[in-house]
Amino acid sequence: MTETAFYILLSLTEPRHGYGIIKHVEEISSGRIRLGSGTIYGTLTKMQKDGVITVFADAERKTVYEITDSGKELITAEIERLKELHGNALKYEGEFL
Amino acid sequence: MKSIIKPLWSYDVQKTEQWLTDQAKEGYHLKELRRFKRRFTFEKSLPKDVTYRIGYDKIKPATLSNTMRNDGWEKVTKTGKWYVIANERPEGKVTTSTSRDAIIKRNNFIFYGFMAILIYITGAMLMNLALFTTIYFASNGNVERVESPFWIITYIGSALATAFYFFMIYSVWKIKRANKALSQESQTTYAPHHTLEKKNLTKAEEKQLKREGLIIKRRKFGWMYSPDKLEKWLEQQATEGNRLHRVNKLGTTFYFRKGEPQHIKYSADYQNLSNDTYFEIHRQAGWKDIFSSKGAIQKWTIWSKEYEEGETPPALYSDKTHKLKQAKKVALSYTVLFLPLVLMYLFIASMNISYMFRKEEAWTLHDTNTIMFFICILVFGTFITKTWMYYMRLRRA
Repeated sequence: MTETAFYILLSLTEPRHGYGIIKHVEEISSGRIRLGSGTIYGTLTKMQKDGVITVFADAERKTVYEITDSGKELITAEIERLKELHGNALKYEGEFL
Repeated sequence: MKSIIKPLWSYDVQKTEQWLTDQAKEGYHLKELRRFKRRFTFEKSLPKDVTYRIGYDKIKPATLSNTMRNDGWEKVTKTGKWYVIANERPEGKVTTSTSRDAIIKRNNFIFYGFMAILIYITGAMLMNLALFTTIYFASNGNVERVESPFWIITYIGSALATAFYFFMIYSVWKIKRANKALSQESQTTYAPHHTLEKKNLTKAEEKQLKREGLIIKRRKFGWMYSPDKLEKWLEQQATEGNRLHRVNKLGTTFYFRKGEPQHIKYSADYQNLSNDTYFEIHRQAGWKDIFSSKGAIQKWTIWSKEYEEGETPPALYSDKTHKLKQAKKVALSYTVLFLPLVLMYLFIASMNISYMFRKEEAWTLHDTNTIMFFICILVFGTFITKTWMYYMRLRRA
């Protein structure tokens, strides 16, 4: 999973608008990642095709993105993988100093 | 139990949804929809107020989002890519709805398909008509009409063809209207956000400004084959104080308004069949759409966003992967469009060229044709090459 895809999925802890995702990702990455709306649109369209997310319209008829059950499975598996990476990074980090 | 066949229900889903609600008010509740039979089956019980929504989803195990389920929506029936959901809560209490995007996209697809057939048939018909009238007048009306021996088949055939022709005209008109209504449903809330400056200027005002030299006109052809160059050119103009004001409908003439130098990022973006979500997401992120092409195949949008001096310029595509994917789509689309033409002309021209040297006359109309074919090959070939060069430039960047 690319960093972009990971952060987009990670920001769907609650249903959000496209711009909401951009803002949230910028916030949790402390301003490091500023996603372009074209990138977001491309990734979201792909994710929707893959059944990872689903869309609906809110009271103002704006498009809202929500994670599906298979999307939740995907992000949990990815988080597990990253935990392992993180654990090993901490464990062996000292050897390179 | 009651069954109703509604052949063209999918052309106007809003109307069909209302019809389902009306049925429920009379006590007929939708049980099943059969896509191919176009049959709605209802079950009789107590009259109720039910809101219906028809959705379209390409993904097979389409699950209703949790938020919508919590909002009282329930799936009633599913057939192919279509599904119908219902909500029995009072209308004011329901805050969610299906996204209309997939239906609009599907309708557009059918619309352009029918349009292509219509244009083709109309063209062929006019050609035949022209041929017959020419013969008729050339022979001073002395045309012998031969009755077809199978006259029943001929007449039934032409009647069917005419009926089909009018059905397509009706379809195109109906779909266009339905899509406009669907689009309006979702655009009402964020439309004022993107009101462009051009809306504030009337034609007369623009003319006046042009005369005063405050609006300048520049032509640019074929920019869609190297959009990155167009972006750079527009950005350069902005730093010189020429702000892009509007683009003509064809996308060939650019009008700039003179003013203070500005930092504006431009992005020319290509989509296969663009939709409302596409515009919504970019507008939310602060991009303004200055130009949108009207064509079916070429869907270009020129986006602009201002930024401050010293700030990192905004980017529609923040990563290289998506940017490259986009460029590849441009290159492939134009190759698919022009390569068959190039090959066809190459075939014809190569057959003609040997003839050119074999014959005795110095110059004939035939030779002019051959030259024309070679010019076409050159022009279309350049388009293809340009788009791939654009892709390579981005890859190296």
